[in-house]
Amino acid sequence: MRDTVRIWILSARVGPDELARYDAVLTADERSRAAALGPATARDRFTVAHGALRLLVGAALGVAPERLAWRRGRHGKPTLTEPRGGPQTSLSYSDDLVAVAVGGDRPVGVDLQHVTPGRDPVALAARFFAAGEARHVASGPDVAGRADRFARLWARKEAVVKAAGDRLWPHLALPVHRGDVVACGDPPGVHRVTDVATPAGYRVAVALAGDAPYDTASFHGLDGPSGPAPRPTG
Amino acid sequence: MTESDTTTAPELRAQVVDTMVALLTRMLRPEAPVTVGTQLMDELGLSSSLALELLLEVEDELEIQIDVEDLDEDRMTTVGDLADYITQHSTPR
Repeated sequence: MRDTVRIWILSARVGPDELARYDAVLTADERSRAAALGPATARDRFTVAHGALRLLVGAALGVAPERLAWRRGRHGKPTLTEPRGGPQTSLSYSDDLVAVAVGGDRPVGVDLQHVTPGRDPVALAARFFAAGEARHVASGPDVAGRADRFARLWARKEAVVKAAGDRLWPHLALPVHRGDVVACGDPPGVHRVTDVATPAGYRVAVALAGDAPYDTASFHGLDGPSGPAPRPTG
Repeated sequence: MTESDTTTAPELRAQVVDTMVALLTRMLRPEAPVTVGTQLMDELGLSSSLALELLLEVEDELEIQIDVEDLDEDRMTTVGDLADYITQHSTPR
């Protein structure tokens, strides 16, 4: 049976009541990390992202969200340690949106990128991407098209690196444009990366360790595929 | 001999810090002033894609090339940490 990765795309701009409910499931450490962020939008986004991860995984496992615990690996990759044997998870946020991915046994990475249409990324791609991908970005029809191509490639690279638990910076030239199966990690392993349908102005990619095909199911808002939506209860 | 060839490491680091402070202030418009001790991700919420833009702008501004092979989140905790990395891992263009 094919694996399925579930990906939730959530708005980071929520009202005070909803924000308070996300905040209620955070740990003291997460709350202090949120408080350390200067911009209010960054604070709220952090709270929504980490709160949503807890609510979704807690609902999937039937565990109180605030009791879940993750341990961060060598390059920051989180692994659920309480309870053990739970699903692999990944989290990403950019601008006004948050992406939460919940997989199964295979390490997962998700990345969400806001496309900044006013900023031409040709120089960035030329400097940091491999020549073929830089040409792909540069040959976009206009600035918005080039920004979209850049955001797609960037999301795919980050998703693979996150699934591999590796560092981003040595992998900026990782080839992700043509093939979906990409080698990354230490020791190197293959990963399968997939573009995820996203609201306009954003790009999302998800990657799983191993080359076996898998299904993706994406949701907008906290509504899940079955059972009552794990809405924050206050 | 170019100007970069004669720049000492402490001078380059000071230039990198000044450039980063100016760029981060312009890019993120933070409420509190950016200093050498400001935490890039934990205080400013700097994303990896903005960090990439920052590196390219520092390269262009100071006419250097930064080797990103050894870069890691642990080495970019604060403005000063990233300035140290850039000082140690850059060559004049």
